[in-house]
Amino acid sequence: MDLALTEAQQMLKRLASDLLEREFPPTLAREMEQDERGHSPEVWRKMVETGLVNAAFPQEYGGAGGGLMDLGVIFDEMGRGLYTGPYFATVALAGLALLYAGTDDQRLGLIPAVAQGQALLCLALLEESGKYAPDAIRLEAHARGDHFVLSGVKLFVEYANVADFVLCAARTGPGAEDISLFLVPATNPGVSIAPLDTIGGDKQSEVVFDDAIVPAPNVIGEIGGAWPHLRRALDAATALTCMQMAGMAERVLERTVEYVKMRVQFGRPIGSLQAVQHHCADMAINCDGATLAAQEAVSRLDQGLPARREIAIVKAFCSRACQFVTLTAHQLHGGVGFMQEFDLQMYTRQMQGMALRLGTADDHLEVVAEELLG
Amino acid sequence: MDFRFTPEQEQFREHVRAFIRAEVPAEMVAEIQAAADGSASEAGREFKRLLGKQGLLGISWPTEYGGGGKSLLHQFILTEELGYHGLPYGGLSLTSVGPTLFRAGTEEQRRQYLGGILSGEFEFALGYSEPSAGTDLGSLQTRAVADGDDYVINGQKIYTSAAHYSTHIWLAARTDPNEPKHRGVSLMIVPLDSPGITIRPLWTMGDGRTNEVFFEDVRIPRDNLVGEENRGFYVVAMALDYERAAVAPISPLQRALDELAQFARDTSRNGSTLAQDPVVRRKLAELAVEVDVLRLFSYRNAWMIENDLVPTKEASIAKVWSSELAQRMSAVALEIMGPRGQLKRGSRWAYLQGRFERMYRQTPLMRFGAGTNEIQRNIIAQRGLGLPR
Repeated sequence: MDLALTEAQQMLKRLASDLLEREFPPTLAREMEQDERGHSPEVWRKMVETGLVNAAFPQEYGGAGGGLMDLGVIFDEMGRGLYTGPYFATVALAGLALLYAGTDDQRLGLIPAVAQGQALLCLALLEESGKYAPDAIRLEAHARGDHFVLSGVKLFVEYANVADFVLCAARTGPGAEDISLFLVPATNPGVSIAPLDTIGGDKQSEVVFDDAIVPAPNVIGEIGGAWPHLRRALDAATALTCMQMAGMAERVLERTVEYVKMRVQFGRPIGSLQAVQHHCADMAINCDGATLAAQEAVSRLDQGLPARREIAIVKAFCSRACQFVTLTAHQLHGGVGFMQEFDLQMYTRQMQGMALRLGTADDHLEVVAEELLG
Repeated sequence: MDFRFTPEQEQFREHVRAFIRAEVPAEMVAEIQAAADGSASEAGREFKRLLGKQGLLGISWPTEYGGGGKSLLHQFILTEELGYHGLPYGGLSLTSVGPTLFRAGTEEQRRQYLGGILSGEFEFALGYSEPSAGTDLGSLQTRAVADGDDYVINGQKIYTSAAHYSTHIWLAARTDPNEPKHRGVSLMIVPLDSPGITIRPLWTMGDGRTNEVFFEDVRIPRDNLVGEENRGFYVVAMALDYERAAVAPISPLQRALDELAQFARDTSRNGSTLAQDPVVRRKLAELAVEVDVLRLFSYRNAWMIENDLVPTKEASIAKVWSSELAQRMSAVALEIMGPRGQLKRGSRWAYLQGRFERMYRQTPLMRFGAGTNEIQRNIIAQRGLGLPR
């Protein structure tokens, strides 16, 4: 048992933390919400230079050859620093999907460009039902000569608005798992992208494929063979999202503790009142549980161990625990935390967005029940 | 990061399991579980002898004191496995009093007591709580007055669990009434067969026995003082540090959850099993998540202790979580069982031999005992988060 980060991971953590503190202050987080693109190429360039973008890609594709725990450390810091932007979509969702599903040539063709900051990716998966399951994918791809024609509507495609390429999961047969992955340039004339206005203020889009023509070599991996790879990428993305949520929750707790120490009512800091202290203690319990569970899930994936149960547990737990932390923080901040000019409300809204993606607590509790009861 | 035990530790776990399978008859387990005080029962004592024969008692004690010389993680694994099978380890004598004597005891005290603790000859009850000194332990009033080479003790302790089958009491008594509160308290070892001691039973809602212990001009040698006079709270704090290693065990709750899951799979209602009922599934899944979070809290404690870090906030978090989860779990179990949930062991209609009915009656203790959860939350807030007192 070793619950400490390695020295290299601690260094990466400091790098990420310093970079975000310097280049992504809360004022920028706020600007990014208002910004139509929600993306600062300047910050992205610095993230590439610092080695955050290529951290977990294998060296033969221009990566640093790190593991998922390295990404976990970065996402923890991104949560703490309230980072928003195309990192998760490019690196965790689409990047891992491409890495897991692609042929060697396909990886060589695109991952080095991503690692060097020359390409942004997104993953078009969810549809109307909002379910992360193969049978929820209705968008169809039909073979026509040496190309495919894609038609259908994808929802909640993160950072499609700035992506150079869309990885689109499409149905290529009647079987539940007849799912294929297509690499589609965002400039494809059959693709139109419209923003969705969401609680978190991050950039998600509706992406409509209207007879979009995609050449056959753009099928990533095998026709009809995408789902197991997508599942694997989604598992990693889920555990990493939990690291990010836990990081956010930890930071919210820290800021709440700072606040109740200096907020004076009845002639003393409210942080000296037991009612307030016990709220803080409950926040700490939930933060620690979220962090430990996220670390365990990521470390199991990192070691190539089965983690279906751990992933379900951590997302079920984090979705509620981290929400509890932000909402309790509001209770302790009172009016000031409710103001737009205060950062807390950004954490709260983004946290809720994360609670609702990659499976809600309900979805994951059913997986836990399956593991327990069959 | 790695949340798994080493292959050597897993092998030790297998060794303990094999021992339980091969050496502990089912009747012995049943008898221990049925008794009000499992470890005090005849079967409990017999089991302890078995543990001793296997070299498992004092597994983490240094070899110079006759222990197994293994790490605290081994003790953790051992108590987890025993706990899963409803079997007791050695109680606080082994996990807390003994280790405190390694550090704070005199050479003579170590010689006098450690062997007996290890062999099971000596059993210690903790003499802290008094009628007017519970959470506010610093206001305890039992007096120990020096008289020549002796202390003369007068006063009363309460909720002194295990006193009726112990040989000694690990007593906190006031030696200087002029010092405020925590100062002026000393820690001493008092043989329970000393003249002037009266033990009266108190019976708990959970069927267990605890006691009131009265001291009337009880004489003990001053050599029985542990640590410095009037500095007894340091010794108490040290003993509590060792207790942290044993705090918030997971396995009894894991076992209860497993039995509840089995019950849900085996029990039909209206043509389908409880395990197929979406409401039951949801409730059990929520408990499973919470048990897993407890496992993580508990592993973290063990890992910290193993690495010479002292879990303070972390131990409090585990204690709060496990005690509130235990209460929730028993309530959920009874709710799933419905009217038959109220039946006690012995009724032919009782589910799972009434184990959750009993658990419901036992679990309030976990929440207010061993440092109330309110105090634990104060510790988390003040010592963990740095909020002002």
